[in-house]
Amino acid sequence: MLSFIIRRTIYAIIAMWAVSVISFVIINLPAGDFVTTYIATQAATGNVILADEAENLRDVYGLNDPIYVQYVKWITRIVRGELGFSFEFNAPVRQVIEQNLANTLLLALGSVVFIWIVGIPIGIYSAVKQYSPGDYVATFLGFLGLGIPDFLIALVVAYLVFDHFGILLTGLYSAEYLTAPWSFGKALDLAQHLVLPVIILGTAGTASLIRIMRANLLDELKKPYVTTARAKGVTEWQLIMKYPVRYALNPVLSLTAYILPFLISGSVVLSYVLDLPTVGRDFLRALTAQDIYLSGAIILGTGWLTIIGTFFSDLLLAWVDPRIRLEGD
Amino acid sequence: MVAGSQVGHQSDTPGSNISDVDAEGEIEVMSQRQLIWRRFKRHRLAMVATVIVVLFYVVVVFADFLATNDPEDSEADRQYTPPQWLRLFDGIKPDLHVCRLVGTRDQFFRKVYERDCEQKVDIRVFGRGYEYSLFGLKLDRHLFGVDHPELTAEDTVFILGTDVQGRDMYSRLMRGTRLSLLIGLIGIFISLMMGTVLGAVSGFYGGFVDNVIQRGIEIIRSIPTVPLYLGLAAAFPADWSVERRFFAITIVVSLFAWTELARVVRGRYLAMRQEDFVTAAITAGASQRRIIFRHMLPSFYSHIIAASTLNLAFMVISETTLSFLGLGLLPPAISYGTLLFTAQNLQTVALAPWLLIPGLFVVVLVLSLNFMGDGIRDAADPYGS
Amino acid sequence: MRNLKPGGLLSKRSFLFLALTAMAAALTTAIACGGGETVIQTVEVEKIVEVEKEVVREVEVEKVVEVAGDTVVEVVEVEKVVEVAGETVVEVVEVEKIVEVEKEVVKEVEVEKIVEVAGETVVEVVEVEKVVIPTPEPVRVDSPHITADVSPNEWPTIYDASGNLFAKPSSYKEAPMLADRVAAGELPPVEERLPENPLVLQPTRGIGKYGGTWYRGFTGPADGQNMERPLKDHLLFYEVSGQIPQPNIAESWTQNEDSTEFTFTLRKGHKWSDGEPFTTADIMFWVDHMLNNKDLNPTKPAWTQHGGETLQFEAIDEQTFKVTAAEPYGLFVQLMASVIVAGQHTRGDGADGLYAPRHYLEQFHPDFVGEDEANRKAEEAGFDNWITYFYDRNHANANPDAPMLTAWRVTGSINTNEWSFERNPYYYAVDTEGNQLPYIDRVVLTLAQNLEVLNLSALAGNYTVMGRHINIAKLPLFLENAASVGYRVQFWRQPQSGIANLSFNESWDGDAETASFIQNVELRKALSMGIERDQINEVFFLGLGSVEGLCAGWDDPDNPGKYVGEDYVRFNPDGANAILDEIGLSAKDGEGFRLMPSGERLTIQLPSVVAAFEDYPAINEMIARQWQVNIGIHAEVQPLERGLHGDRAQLNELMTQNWENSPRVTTIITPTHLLPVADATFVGPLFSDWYDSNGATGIEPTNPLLREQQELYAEAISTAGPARYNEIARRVVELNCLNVNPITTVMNKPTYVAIIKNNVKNIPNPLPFSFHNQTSGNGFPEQWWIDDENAMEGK
Repeated sequence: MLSFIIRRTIYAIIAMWAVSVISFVIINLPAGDFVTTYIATQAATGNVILADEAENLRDVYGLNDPIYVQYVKWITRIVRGELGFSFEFNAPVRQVIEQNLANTLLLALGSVVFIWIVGIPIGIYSAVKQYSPGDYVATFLGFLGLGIPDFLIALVVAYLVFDHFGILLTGLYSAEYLTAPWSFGKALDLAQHLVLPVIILGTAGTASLIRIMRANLLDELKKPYVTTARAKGVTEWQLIMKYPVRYALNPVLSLTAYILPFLISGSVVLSYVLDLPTVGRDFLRALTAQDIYLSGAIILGTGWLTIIGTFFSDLLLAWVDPRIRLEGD
Repeated sequence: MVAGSQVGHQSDTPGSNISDVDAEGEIEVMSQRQLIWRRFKRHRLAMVATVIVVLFYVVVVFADFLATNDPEDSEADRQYTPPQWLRLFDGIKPDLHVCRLVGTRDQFFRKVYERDCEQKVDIRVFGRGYEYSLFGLKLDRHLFGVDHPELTAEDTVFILGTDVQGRDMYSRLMRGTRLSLLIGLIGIFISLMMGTVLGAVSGFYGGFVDNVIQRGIEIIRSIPTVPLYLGLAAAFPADWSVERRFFAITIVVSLFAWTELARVVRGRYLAMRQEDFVTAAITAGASQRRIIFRHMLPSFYSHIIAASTLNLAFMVISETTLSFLGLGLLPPAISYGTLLFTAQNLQTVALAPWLLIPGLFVVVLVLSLNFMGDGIRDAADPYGS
Repeated sequence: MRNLKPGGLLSKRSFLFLALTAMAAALTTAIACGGGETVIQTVEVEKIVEVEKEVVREVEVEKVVEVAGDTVVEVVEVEKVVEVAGETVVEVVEVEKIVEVEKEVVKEVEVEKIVEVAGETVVEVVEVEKVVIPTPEPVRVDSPHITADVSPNEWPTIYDASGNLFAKPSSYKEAPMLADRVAAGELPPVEERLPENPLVLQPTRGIGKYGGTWYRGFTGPADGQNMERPLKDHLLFYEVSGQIPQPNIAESWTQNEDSTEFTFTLRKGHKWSDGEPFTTADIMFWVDHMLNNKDLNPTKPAWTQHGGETLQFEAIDEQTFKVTAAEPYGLFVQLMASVIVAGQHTRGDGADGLYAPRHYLEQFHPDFVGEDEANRKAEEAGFDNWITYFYDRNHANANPDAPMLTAWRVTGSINTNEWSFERNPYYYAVDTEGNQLPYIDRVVLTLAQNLEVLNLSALAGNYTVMGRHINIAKLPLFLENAASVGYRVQFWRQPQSGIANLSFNESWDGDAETASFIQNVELRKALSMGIERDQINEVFFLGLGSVEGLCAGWDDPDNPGKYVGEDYVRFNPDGANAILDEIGLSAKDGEGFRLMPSGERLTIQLPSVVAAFEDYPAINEMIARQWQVNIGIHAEVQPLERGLHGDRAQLNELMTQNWENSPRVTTIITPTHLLPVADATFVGPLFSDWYDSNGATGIEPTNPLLREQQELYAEAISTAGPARYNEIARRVVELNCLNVNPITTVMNKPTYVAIIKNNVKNIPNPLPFSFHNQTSGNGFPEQWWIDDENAMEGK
């Protein structure tokens, strides 16, 4: 077990390093740098940045350094626990991310709960009633969420709700609660605003959960112990819920570790369309504005979290199933 | 978006590959392919989905023939024309036509059209229209149309309405289908190559090579897709021609997709090695080559097809998302993504909702591909019910 | 305009000569035919009155001028009182002027007196220039909820009818929210908070009431202009039309005859928003510790460089400072008033901005606390070094601690989801009845990065006044919702500006044969005549723009009845095809596209910025299609990301650019759209390079029209007097028209479609739009007010 842990730890560290390099490459790939984009953005909104001001910015931000120097500076800082400096906000990256971190987690958590609540029952139902009309309808609805691009539905729904009910569903808080201290009213307001994004984000993830749940349960149901139990006269409901569902749920739960990057990915586009104050929205902005240390920190953060998540779920699986420890030796 | 690619996990789930029934022995008269086809036919939804997918690819080939108008022909007087219904009868007399539309700006500056059914615009099947080339032939016949090559502001047929520049949405949709699905096809090809080769190498050699490839896949997968796409898509020069951008997007999209395939292929390889029939073949003295191609490959290429079908759906969505964010294809290229990109605004939703129809096409296509893929996979499982 | 030059002082012998100067008038031409021109007429009146110990009382001049069908009557009354007391002569001249012009408003009357008596006879000649401020044709839009332009203009002003600054009100009143704080002892009384001579502003339509919150939307930290515009932190600022610099933070200014020395006077008793005095020490702090600090300003702002040297700043006393230029710098005052110089709020984040809160910033500057301490503070706050921290501290939008001079001060940072402002208790302006401005208590901006969401919020009535970021394509939605939500729509237009000008890079160095065509004015004429502008106007601007050239309204002497370049703005495919056949493009290929003599197809590249304020790729797509159909010219649309587009423009890689231009009258102040100078990339980046580097790099324009533009520009910024300056400003644009570069498509669309709640009062009408004078800042938002049940009188 110890050698397994050591081996996996080394893998994880190598992977984390590799992700840091890839992240840095990605954020530096686009032509130009923050300053060029900044000038262009300002020009596009009718402001003129003078050429000298631009040169000043480049000097101060160290954008005139060679790329590897920039990488080394960046990664040493990260290791020390500093996330670097956001050009656009002219503030430490940590400060920028912290601002919307809670909203992001809330949205992710809400979506995960939604996915479970909707996906697991439908998955069980589809497996038990395989190839029944109900199975088709359930899977169809589940896949519908997968097939509809988030961005397409979001704005349409937001506009229609406004047009018919006069309610604005964009953002996560109404203007009057934006900076207000927490209160019952604010929580209610937030909950109201969360509904649409959670459903949209959730439906996209539900399809895969339904599919996995259904397949796993089907596998379980074929096993001899189920037949035995059935033969013993256990009621169908108990029969299914007692063991097969629990076993089928195992891989589903470990999959939740993978769901994080998925939710971040999904929330980027959705947050942009509905203007939700999440890290995803900041990320898209940082990426297009070439605010590299902000976008880099976000890519790196999600990448590392996934690696760490996988690491722990691997350890867990290995602890449960000794065969895995030997695999790859 | 990742959802589509996560589907492959289930093939690795425990319990799906061990059985004590020897399939080969029982139904000797049917080939693997026939077996799968027989099972596939039972899956009704998958059959319907397959027909739809085939229809989509008919559009890919005959896009220009199906189009009624030059997709690039713009005219201010036809801005935001609502869809015109094709009318089959004039009274009781069969007569394919649409009613003429007369447009004005109202007091809110909204473009409004009135239908004048006294003035018919005749529609002719196989009528003449703009020139295009198909299989190297220069043609000007279209499935239906107003039967003259030059468009006028009055004599028009827009069965799905027009966009802000007065361009025919239906014809643009035909062109868009072609480009978006081609991207998918090419992407599938690239990811298929990378996925099967790397997956096979990984599964076949195992050990260090396998380890490196697996860690590489893990690293790629640990980076959230959208950032990865955005970063890569933002990287190529935006002044590239439509064609170059097209290929670049395809490569970007398939860069992610191959990892899934590689996992499937590798997983199958590993699983097969322990299968009874492989052991049996080895015992019977079959050569390694024969084992791989005669026994192992056929049993999982349906999995590859299934994974590819799902990947195709994933790629169409990815292209759409990238283009929507202005980082994929850009107008004047016509794809689902660019069509939706220009339609994602309040005025479209409120004033010209028909411009969202490409979204419907995306949904139908993605759903069909998913059902088709599911059906193939179910059918490919030799022990499925 | 303040710095009038004495024409000369003459001595005569034994009699007392009095020189009387009256000024006169001016006049207006061509308003009828195209609207919107600046006409300057200089009338020099020299009057010699011979008197012996007598008093001259009154002179009256009447002038009647007829212009192009419009009758203009101008009456000038001059009243003069001369008091003789021994050898000292005091002359008081009062000028009252009433000008009645149809479609026209004449502003600005200046009288300057210099009386020198030392037993000598003094003849004084004063040259007075009068600027006739044009207004665009009133826009009559036949639609409910759109505020039609009115004539005469309804504008706020700081000058009374006789052209003098409004007198200081006898007493002051303040907002109830401040009165409460005064009563609680938290603030000194309003008299002590205002400078000795506040800026007195006559509101647009009437005295307002206090209270309310101005809600807006913003798109993120890069959207600083969103509030920098209405807050206009400039020492001098323009009047509404953006043509005449006026006092703002500074009380007055003068300049010497050859425009090398400028003296500015600040307001005595003026205070920062935290109550600390604002003096020339704040100017000199900026000069000595920011402008001339190599870390903060490794390269200095271009406007501080003239004649190869940095401007010299010198404080004369607490309120007066002098700026000295190495060479004549005639444009300096105009630049001071414009956004190019601006102030601490607008440019502080780059350590520019002419002044800075010395008392606050010293604690972060190594010159005062030492470099180690400055860096320590920066690191403590999470910054790399003191430089970035210093930028941040002086970036008022992001740092609510930074003292400000503007009408509202920042209370919530631009880096958050809610960017907010509250009235500045020390604001230096009052209305004519002595109410301290601003009227509105707070400004709150909510973040909406996605413009669709921002527009949806506007649609829902979440914003009080919002012009920025509002999309004209959604006008039907706004109009349909206006009545139920309770707002009106007003168009803020940029007079004589193009929205989508196609500029041809005459220094483009790609394929030589193609380049030779690009440089050929005949090709540009043909391309221009091949565009159906009405279609573009209808599709992208709902027909609200106009189809005309840059020179509309200026009669072309060579082509009476038309303006320069008018022929090429008209759609004329036959004329275009004839030209193209003639210049060697008569051959066509199988697809009907014209070929160059070498047999290669001529391809016009149309790089188009993606996601700008107009949909340039789509506009270019339409142009390309029109060229293909009408004149057989092949064009290729290349969508480009904004940053990349800018880079490639600088590198001389773009054959054409499609972009807007500033209003014609500001061509010299913001020249980059039309002239090959000052880093401009539109008509030829290499030519700009050549001009900027004095010939060291780049290439000299071979096109004499472009060369003439450069020479005229050089003259305009240095030695040209105001009269000559205006001549130049017109001539350079005419050169653009003669050169058919840029090709204009649609002009004068409403730049801002302003969504204004029905209860918001005092918004000027019309409100001309311009970048250099920071619309909506030129509408003086401090005198806007919200008329609802909560509005209160001042206390």
